[in-house]
Amino acid sequence: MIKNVNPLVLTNARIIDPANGVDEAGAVFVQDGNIVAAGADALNQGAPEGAKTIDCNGAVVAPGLIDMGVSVGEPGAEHRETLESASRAAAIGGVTTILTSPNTDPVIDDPALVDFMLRRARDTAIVNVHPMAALTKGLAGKDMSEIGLLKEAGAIAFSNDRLPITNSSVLVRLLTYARDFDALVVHQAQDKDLAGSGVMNAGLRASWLGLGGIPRESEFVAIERDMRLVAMAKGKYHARLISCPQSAEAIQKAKDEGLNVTAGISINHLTLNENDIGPYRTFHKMSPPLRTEDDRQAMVEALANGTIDIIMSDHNPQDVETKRHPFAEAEDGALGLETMLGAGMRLVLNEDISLSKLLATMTCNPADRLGLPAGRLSKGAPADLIIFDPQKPWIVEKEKIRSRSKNTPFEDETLTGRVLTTIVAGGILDHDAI
Amino acid sequence: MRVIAPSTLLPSGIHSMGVEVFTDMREGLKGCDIVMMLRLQRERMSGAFVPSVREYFRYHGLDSEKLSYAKPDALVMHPGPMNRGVEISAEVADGPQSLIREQVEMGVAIRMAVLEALAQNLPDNV
Repeated sequence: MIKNVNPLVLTNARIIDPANGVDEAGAVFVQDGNIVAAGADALNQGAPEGAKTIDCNGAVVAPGLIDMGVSVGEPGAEHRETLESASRAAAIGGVTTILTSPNTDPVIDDPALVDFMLRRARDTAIVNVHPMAALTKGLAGKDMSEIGLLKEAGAIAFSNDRLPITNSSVLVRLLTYARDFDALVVHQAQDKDLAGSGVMNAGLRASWLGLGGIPRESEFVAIERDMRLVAMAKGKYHARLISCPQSAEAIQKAKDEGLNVTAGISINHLTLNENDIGPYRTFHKMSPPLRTEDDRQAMVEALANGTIDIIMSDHNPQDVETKRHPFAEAEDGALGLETMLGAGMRLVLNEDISLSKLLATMTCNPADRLGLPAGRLSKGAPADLIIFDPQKPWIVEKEKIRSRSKNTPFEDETLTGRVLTTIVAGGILDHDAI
Repeated sequence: MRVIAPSTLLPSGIHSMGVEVFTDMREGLKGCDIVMMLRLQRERMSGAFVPSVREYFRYHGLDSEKLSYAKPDALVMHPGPMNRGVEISAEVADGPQSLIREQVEMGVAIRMAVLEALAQNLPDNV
């Protein structure tokens, strides 16, 4: 991002900076695209001459969100989403850094394609973009990709997107090889044979709907395997998205053993359950599938107790061509960039977790895992910020969605908590103009 | 004595064999007197121990830049056959620090001597 060097002062704010344990009334002072000071004492030396001042009227100022799971249609499916449209959706949702999935056409498995993503992002995106590269060539799960060269080209992490690596030998070699480059392996664990041809969570609900089920075992058996492989390779592993409590238990056990493991979850699996599928709503078809209300509550608890580290949107734009089908034939995936924080606020309003904790899982936790300086209001950190009203209700209207696709599972729902202003590298992104 | 290789090519238990182990070539070469390269068996490429020839050469191929981390008069050896552009650059293989041609020549003499010594000690009935 090109930095906006002009001084900027945000006053009359509630500063929430989870990385530094700050939740207090104060101000933020920004210059040269970086944070100069944040908190109650930020303006002790007075605001500089000529600084632009924004009165936040008591709203929250927090670090901009970092989203580890964003599918952009570019390259290859620009009719669904581009880096430009995804970045506008991100800005509206308060997401100032996105990690793009390598599951594009062509797959991001060559250093030249990482370079392409970075250049396209530089030229078209209004938030920070870090491409993830494919773990295996063509995402085929067989031959490892050029982790060293891809990382040098700018790949921030390595993922096989939603496609699990079933061959344990391939995965253990990847974890071993990636270790030499201190590269993070992001893996969606699933036993494909156990998942079979299922299309939603296995159980009573699936039986009533007459749909094939995907058992929890297909996830946690694979997570348990992955933990053993991480122990064997001493690798650096992030579970891309877990959806059931048994997976969380396996992750926590691995953490207790001292393995270098973290876990993510999508906002959907924290705020929705299989009942939301209702009469075969394909916008609620996801991989892994939405689970039961008991599972959802267990995942919220795993988030609250720190077993789950990172919330992502799992933003996956799909259009009518892929969604307007019978449930079993429709594509998986839902939008998430614009609604992640608003949906997450449901957990705060329900007093499941504090606002500071929610923000930690979307700011400093992913930043720390990825080695990014963003996600905090420390002196010298990039001035990626949101001004956020946690009490403001808004309705998710299809017409106002910035994403090129419209497959939100929150359509026409009221969310509480709205990002008012997004600031990237010291530059103010006016939401009315996005 | 040091061994340098990507982790996927290191034998298990190497750490207890009395050598210092490195995965970063520049780190491992610092201050070395002699660098003995080993052939990367191309047939292993498809076995996915390393992702590609170009990546292997980039991080583990001996070129003059990496060799500059060893002592200025360090000698370069290789048992052959060499894959120029895979584990060693042509510049280094044929350069002034290379002992490889002599090494290969001596290798022939040693093999001849070994065969001769064995042949002289064969039992009479063979």
